[in-house]
Amino acid sequence: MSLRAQLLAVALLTLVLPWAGWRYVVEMEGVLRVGLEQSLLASATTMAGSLAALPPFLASGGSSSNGPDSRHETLYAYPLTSAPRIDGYPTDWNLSDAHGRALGPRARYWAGVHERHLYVHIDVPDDAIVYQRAPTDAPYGDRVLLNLGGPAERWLVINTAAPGVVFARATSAPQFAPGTRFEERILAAWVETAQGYAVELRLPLDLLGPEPRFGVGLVQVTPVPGGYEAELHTSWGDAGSAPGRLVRRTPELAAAAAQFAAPGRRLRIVDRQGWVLYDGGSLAPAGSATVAQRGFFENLLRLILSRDDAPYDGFENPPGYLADPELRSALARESSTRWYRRGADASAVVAAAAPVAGSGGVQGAVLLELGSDSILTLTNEALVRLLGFTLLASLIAAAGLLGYATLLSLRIRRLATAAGSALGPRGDIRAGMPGQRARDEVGTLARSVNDMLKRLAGYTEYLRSLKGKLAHELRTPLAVVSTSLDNIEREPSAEHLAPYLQRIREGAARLDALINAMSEATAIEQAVTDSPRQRFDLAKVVRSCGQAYRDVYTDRQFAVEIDAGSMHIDGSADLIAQMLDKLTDNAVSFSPAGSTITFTLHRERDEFVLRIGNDGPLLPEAMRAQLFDSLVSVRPAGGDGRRHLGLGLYIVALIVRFHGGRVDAANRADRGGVEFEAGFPVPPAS
Amino acid sequence: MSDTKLVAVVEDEAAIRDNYLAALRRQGYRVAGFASRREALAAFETRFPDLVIIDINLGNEVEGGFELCRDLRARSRQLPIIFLTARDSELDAVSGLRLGADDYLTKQISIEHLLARVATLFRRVEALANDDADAELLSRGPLTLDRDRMSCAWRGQPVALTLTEFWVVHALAQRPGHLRNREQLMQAASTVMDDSSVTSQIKRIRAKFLAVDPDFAAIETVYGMGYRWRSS
Repeated sequence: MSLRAQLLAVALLTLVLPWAGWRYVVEMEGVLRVGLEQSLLASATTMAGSLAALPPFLASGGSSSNGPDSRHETLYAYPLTSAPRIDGYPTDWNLSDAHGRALGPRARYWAGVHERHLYVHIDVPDDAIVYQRAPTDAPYGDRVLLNLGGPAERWLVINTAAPGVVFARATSAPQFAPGTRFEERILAAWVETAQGYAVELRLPLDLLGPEPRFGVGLVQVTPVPGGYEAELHTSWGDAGSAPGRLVRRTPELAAAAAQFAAPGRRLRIVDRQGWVLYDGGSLAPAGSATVAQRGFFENLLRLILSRDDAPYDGFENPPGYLADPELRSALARESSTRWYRRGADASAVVAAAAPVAGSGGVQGAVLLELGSDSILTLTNEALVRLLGFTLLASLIAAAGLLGYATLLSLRIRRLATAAGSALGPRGDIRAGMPGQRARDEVGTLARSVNDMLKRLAGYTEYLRSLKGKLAHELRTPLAVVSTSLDNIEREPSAEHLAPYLQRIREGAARLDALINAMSEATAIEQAVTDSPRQRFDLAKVVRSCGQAYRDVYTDRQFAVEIDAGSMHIDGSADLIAQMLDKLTDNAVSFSPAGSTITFTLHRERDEFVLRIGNDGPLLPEAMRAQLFDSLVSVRPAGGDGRRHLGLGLYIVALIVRFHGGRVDAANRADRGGVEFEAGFPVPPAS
Repeated sequence: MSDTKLVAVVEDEAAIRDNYLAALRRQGYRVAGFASRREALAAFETRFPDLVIIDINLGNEVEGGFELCRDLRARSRQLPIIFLTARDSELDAVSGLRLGADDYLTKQISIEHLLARVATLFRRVEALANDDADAELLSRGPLTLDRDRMSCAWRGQPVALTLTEFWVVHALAQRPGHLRNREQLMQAASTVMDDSSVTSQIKRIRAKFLAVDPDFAAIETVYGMGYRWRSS
């Protein structure tokens, strides 16, 4: 794993920033939710407090003075948008079947209020309608009963001899015989329907008093053999007790509650049973946009903020009656809040309920609801920005780290490359590591590698100069030996020592040759550094030398093949001549007598290539690389007694390098001999 | 002053010094050996030698020989001075000769050669002293070589050559147009040198001639073979 990959992996850690952003948004949303809940609850409580003191609240039937009632007894009058015509047909009612309530096993009734009148529609399926054919005709036919409540029971009965406009007359339990007194303020119509009959009636609310109670009833008369049977059904149960409360939405309460109106908020006020006395305002319309239509960030946000809010289950059932748990809790004097989801997009709604408590205990409750899309909007913006910033931060951090890693690995790679190439092919050492000035660890590494290389270079230099020094140091004792020999030879008494002296002489001569070779190499090294460069014709030098070698080495053939034309290079012709001397000397000493030594000089692309081949023994493959090093000899042991110090080819390499060229030795392809190849770069035309 | 010449050998290596002294003594010279520059200078106060053979490295003084040479040359312009040293680098040779030494020999040379050089130098001194008119002159165009005085002139201007250089030029100029290989030149100069030394000798000689005549081109290099004197 490269350094860059490693640091990139480290950079991935910065992805913790978006995560932190997500956590932050979630936390923020939580705080906002709590804040919203609390403010909503505070509003609800304030409203409840101010409502509790309002008489209109009581007027709407919120009183508890009549003791507990079951909600089934309560008659809830829905607000009607317009005054229905009293014609027996419910077509102009803005109510549905759901608003109707059971009256006995089959009949249903609807109650509504418009302005100062209470409207009631009763639909009675009846297989056999019984009309009161005569005033004394007992038991007076099918009848509709009205109980106006109040301290004294006030019953009214509606019956008729035929469909049409009918009137209510006072009556009394248990026979509910039509009395003689007519209640003219009540207008009613009786029609026959496909299933039976229907009665629609209107009565002024003034009839009912300040704490209205109201109930409807039905006397179902069924003909039986030998007479009639009558059944009594009421809207509140026991016909003997007072009817249930009449609950309706009063304009007074609406006026009082209107002050609390705020956009996006739905306020509902219920009585102590949960009947809605006021319903105002509306939630912001739930977004109906689909996932595809919403923005990326909004979807992301919804995903992030998705909570397990329960879907709304508190629909009014029957209409006008609320059983939401927070409301139930409020009616039990416990303010509470609840979150739920609604609509197709499941947007969250918060509901707060507070009890309206007066001196007489809980009279009702306030239910305030607010869509939380505002939170979503708020958090959305925050999230978009936060995510933007953190992603940007991550990207910058990753890019920074990547760049830094690139820089670092570049430095290290440069160092590695420099260290790898510090040791030249001929053992020359170039110190000068890059990046030594850096103060960090890489700089330290560069410095220590550089120091090491310098020391190594010093040691190499010492080794290189060793032969020069050695030659010098050996020369003095050798001089002692040879001058002593010179003196001895002049002594007449030394005649009999002649063979020994001869041997000493030979040994000294060999030593001398060795020392010469060493100092020659040193001299060439020096010459190579001192020589001025001049442009000269390589071809001419090679041709001239080739000619000369024919005369010098008479027992070898020389085949010289040189491209026509001049081949000028920059350098020293003398040194090139010395190089040729060494190579020829080498070729001659290896090749058998009478064999041919070949010289070829060609231009090959960008260099002049000189090849000198001989038929000598092949080079051991392993030694090829070291062949041109100082003091390396691959000559077989024993021989002509000439120096075998392996400096000849070292000198060749020195001279070739001075000319910017290359030199190599290889066995010929035909395995018949060895070929030395030196390449000199063609200088740019001047 | 007696007829026998006094040859001083300043050499810190006792064995070599004694060998040289023995050889010189056998040759009939009077000899004096010194191990250090100080010792030699002290002795020269009382008895100035006729020829001095100096090693460059004298004991602790790495370049004591050079200093001694400078001192002696300051005292006498005629005194023949030979450097005989184990140091064979070009730089040392040039330095020694610049200081006015007459010859620069490495310790490789045999005692025979050394004695020959000593004799040659004495002969030159004598020739200079005698101011012999019928000097053995060799003239090749603008070149004039005086074998007795070991002096050389080009277009009438003296060219200061060392003994070795003189003999190299002599060997070349004697037979103009004829190729002289390195060995022949070494033999002529009675010295043992490696090939590169011959090359640098030639280089030095050319430089000296070029100093008096920028158009000097009489010494021609034949690569791989040697050198020849161009007469025209």
